[in-house]
Amino acid sequence: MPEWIRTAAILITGVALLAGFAVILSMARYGRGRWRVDETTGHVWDGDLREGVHRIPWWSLVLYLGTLLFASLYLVLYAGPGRSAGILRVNQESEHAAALAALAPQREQFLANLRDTPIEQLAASPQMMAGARPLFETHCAACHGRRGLGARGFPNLTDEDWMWGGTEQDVLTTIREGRTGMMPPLGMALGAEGVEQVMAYVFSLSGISVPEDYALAGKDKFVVCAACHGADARGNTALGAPNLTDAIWLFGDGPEELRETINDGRTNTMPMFAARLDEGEIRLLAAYVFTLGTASRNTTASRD
Amino acid sequence: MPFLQQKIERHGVVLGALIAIVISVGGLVELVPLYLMSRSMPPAEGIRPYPALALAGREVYVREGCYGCHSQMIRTLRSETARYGSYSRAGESVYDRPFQFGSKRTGPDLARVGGRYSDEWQRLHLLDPRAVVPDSNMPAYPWLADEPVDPQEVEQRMRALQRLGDPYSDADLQGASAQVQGRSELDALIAYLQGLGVTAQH
Repeated sequence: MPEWIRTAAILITGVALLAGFAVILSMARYGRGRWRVDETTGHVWDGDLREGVHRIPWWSLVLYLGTLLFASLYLVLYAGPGRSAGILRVNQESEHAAALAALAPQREQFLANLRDTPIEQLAASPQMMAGARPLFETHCAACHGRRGLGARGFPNLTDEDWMWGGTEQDVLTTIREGRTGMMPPLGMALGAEGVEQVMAYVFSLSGISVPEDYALAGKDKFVVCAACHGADARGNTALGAPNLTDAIWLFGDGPEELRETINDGRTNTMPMFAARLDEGEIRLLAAYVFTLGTASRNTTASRD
Repeated sequence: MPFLQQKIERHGVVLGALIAIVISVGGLVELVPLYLMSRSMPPAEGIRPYPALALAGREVYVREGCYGCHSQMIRTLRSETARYGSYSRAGESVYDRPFQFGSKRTGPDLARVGGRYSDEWQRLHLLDPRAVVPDSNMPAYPWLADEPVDPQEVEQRMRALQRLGDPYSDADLQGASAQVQGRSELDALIAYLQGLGVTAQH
């Protein structure tokens, strides 16, 4: 903004305020002295219509003046026209900074405590876990569900199956850095028939009954899959390749879904939280995740 | 003074002119500097004009009225910055025409939603919010997946913005239609959402 605009804005505001005072003060004198004895303005319409003159009631005058005084004071004290920061130097940013600073020592102490406390101990503290719950609901629940039961494509956190490993370090890394799991499309490599055979084999691993010859043929073709899922199909937590021998299905247990997975592949991403959360908060969340399993065993949780 | 008042009152033109002057003071002080500010408000660090696909997504965002329920304005309150990230700054919205600050939050603020969820989550959530958030009251937008983005329109939009002063290069314009070719409005909207606030997150 050019400098003259700032100057002009300040000048216009000042002149307008002064003019306001002048008008109000002149009105205070209205009705005194100069007016005709009959207390009219002297205007006459249609021969006999006159306009009466009365003083402004004192309370009205006080309100007018009060408004003008308030406006003047406000402009001087707070950030106003031009570059004026106001005498108080208060603004939204400074108020926000002050609000943060007021809590900073407690917060820092609390977070430091979180960073130093073993995760096991955090998980065992009902008080800590009560505090972790809103954090989980803000940052994790949209995908993993409020009770951590997951959804199609979003892993259930209450079971014992950990795609990227279930140690403290694994879970911390997952939250900090996020994860991207990528299964390549294999439809072309396997051919339509091959896909059906591999499907049959994968289903048979979870104890679902399938035509035996299909499953056998699929087992031969499973070498393509074994690179990531392992020859025993028990998955690989380094790649996020799921264990195929359990009854846990990330994308659904129907033939349609499995066919889609093998044909087109899957790319699944967990966002990283290192930039959004403090390390202490991440540890608190990890502890909370570990409690989800025990919690779900104790309640008959419906997914919500 | 009373005689001055009589004179003014009896001349309609003078009275009208004086009234116009008085009521324009507020506008002069409040509005005129803003017109000039939009030109001199520097973009915040890292803020660039929207890439073609995100720009197309932004049009979808405006068309579907997302601003009716989602704000893009994190206020300078501790409770807000704790939940959504650092507060919004004027320099982040210089390429928003019109801005999408919004004033109602039926859903959460989206000013820094970029990267908060995966692309796949956004896709599932836009097609059917209940699929991922069971108690969500957001409407589903299933038609977005079937509507292709019009490459020509995006290019024209970028050209218009370039004329308004947004620093799109000619290479940006030439690459625009290729970038959105074959993409659905859903892809575009996700590209827009995933870019929101990522340059100035903390």
